[in-house]
Amino acid sequence: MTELLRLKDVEKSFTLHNQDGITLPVFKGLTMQAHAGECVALAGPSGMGKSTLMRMIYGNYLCQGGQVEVLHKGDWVDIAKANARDILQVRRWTLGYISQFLRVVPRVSTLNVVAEPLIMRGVDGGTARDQAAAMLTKVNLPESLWHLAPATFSGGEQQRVNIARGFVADYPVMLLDEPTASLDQTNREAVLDLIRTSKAAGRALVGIFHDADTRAAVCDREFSIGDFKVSA
Amino acid sequence: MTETENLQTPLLSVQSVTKTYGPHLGCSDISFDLYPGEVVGIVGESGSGKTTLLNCLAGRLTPDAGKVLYTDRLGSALNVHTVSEPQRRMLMRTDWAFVHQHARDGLRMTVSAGGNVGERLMAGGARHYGNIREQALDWLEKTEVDVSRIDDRPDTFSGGMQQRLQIARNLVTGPRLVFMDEPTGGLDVSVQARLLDLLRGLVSEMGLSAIIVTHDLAVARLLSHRLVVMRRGQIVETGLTDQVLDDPQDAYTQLLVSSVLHP
Repeated sequence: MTELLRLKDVEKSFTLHNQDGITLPVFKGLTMQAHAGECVALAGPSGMGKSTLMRMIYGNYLCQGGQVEVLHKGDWVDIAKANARDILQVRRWTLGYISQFLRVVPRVSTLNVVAEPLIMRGVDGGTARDQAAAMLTKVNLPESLWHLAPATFSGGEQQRVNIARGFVADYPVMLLDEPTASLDQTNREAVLDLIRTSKAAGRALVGIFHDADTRAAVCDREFSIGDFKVSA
Repeated sequence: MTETENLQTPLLSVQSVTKTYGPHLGCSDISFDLYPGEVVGIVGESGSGKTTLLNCLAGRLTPDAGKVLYTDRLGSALNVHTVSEPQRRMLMRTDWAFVHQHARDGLRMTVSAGGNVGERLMAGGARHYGNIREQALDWLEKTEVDVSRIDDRPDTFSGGMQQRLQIARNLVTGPRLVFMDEPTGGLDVSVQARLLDLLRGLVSEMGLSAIIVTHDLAVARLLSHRLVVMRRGQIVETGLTDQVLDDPQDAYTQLLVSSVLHP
């Protein structure tokens, strides 16, 4: 299988300069890969650094050492060393991230929030909104909500907006931070379908899923972060 | 982007810029590049030298050392501080825009709203009254200024309306580079949100490059791709905006980020 994401000797620690300069080690020597067509579950108890690792892959957290390489338009880009402009290009075309919480500009309608990743790629507004509408339909978000800003939505509705926004752009590599956490059975099933479709389309997915049923339903293997834990 | 530009050549290259006020430091040894289509935020507390730096970059102040190079539409690099005065005025009227923190510094308060917008078009060579008025109306609409107020003077406008009018006046000529000094400062939060949404849309629609000075980290997060964090006239940290805000490395940036409620 084709590798789309590969991490080698990744190291992370946090230094808190304003709290006596204390350094909190997270992990060290972490090595993993994700291939086209698979969904890898990051496993380990809370506080082990699963979300941290995901943010490092996305370039949101810095690496203290090692490489985080993403296959971007045929070339490997090391997120750990790439400059900001290159990381933004990788995010625009290759790397998607569905975080636990939706963070958007106030006042922007749901339809435009979801269409934005496509518009950033230069897709015209009409086409982008059509695709956004199709994706919102897939996650069962009622059409009556599409023209409202998501700030006042319930947790489950916001999460579905977030998921639609993440899946609308067909990123070859997807990072999912508890995508089904606040969803009921029907909506959870809709998200699992999106994951299955992505796998079938040859994308690589890395996710955090606390629910064992979800893991069993879509994940091909587990990756245990605890093996690389550094104790304080 | 409306024209084919070399995305690998910086639009603005800032090289070791230093400006002091007598014994007082404004900014010291500042270097960074701004690329086409990029928005860079400059953050830091009051007195950190942000505005001094912005004024140096925009040619409004002359640095004591260092230089600022601007790549014009023809691809030639112009030294912002040594170009001839007519050339600089031309740049200010066509390629650049400067949005002031206080709208009254960027508007002519005794000229009508439409006149404020039209004036910049005329400075760029527009002469046809009908076209100018039409474009002014179009921009008032885009910036959500009530078009029925086109003939009113901005000193009868609210602060938020004045700020939107200032933005209309600045962007009507389709500049390539916009400097903004605390564009949302002094506005109440609902007006701020509206202005942010507007600015964000315009920047991405027009493919603008911008340098935005702000002390508001939430504004910086929403508007800028990259951040430059300043303290006591120096750069202490730079990087991708969300990375600098979510995983700050420098002690001062950590303090700054941890001091706000929701950056």
